[in-house]
Amino acid sequence: MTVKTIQVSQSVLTANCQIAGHNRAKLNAAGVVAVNLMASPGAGKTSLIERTIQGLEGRLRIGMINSDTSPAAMDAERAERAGAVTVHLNTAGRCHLDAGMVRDAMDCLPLRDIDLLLIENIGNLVCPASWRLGSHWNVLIASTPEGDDKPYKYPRMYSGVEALVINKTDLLPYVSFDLEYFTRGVEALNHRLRTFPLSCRTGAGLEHWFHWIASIAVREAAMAL
Amino acid sequence: MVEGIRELALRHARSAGASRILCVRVVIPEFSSYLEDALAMLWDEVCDATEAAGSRIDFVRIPGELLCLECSKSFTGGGRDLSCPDCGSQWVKPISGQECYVESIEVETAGG
Repeated sequence: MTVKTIQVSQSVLTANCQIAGHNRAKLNAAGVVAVNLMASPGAGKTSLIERTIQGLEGRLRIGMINSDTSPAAMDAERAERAGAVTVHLNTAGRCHLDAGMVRDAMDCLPLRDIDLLLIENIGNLVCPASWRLGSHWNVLIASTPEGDDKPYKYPRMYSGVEALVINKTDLLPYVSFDLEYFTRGVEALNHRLRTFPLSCRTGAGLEHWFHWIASIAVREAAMAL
Repeated sequence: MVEGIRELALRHARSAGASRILCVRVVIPEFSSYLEDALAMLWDEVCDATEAAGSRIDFVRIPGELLCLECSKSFTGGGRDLSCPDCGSQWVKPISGQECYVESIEVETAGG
């Protein structure tokens, strides 16, 4: 027997990235555009999803993967009531989604009957940023009551997304949230970010968001053909 | 995550024709969000009944690089509060040292 050392030098996330690549290929083949929605708990992920499903009714067929750390399926039920084909994914305590979980959830969805797949990640501003899922777009939902310091405290999350929703703008007069300070932090980290200030409660700003979601769904689907 | 480490180790061991993995060396950069204790705790369990059963997992900590968003200087270290050594700003972001990787594996092969 001989003992020898083999150099590997490969990222631990290599396997996840490969599965994410397969997920993307599968989505492209079915003509589905996937959006990974990340946020802290309570930022309004489910509310935005509900509003989006209702706002795009008749324009896009929407599927949804709803994740939670427990079997509690109330968010999935809300999405289903709003009109989306929904899979509830219980991570059993795990704090983020990975590409393997999304692959398995996708297997439960009729991808051929869906134009847009919304993936609701676990409420967490740390781990989800590291795990690619195969989605075409990664979106972060911030909310004004969380405070304006979040880009400074969670730079990786703010650096790794392509669009940012600032929810609960109706609460701006009541909470300590300096939009200028927040925006300065965001722009330093990610100056190409598309930003959508809105309120899921009042509906202000939602049309702009709907328009963008509808436009990326059409564009990505055309590119995949 | 632990399964990812095991899969990489097994793949490289098998392609080298190794019969057993003795040790896996994992680099954990300063700004990755992974905990050595948690990984070590699960290691034995995920390696059970594979060529990596009974192997050791070693961790190497390396520093990460930060960029000051105030004065644009990049630096390592930065003290306990990670502030910029030049201007003192705490408005910094990691630019390297986030990705965890398997550096090498030690294996046993038949023959000389």
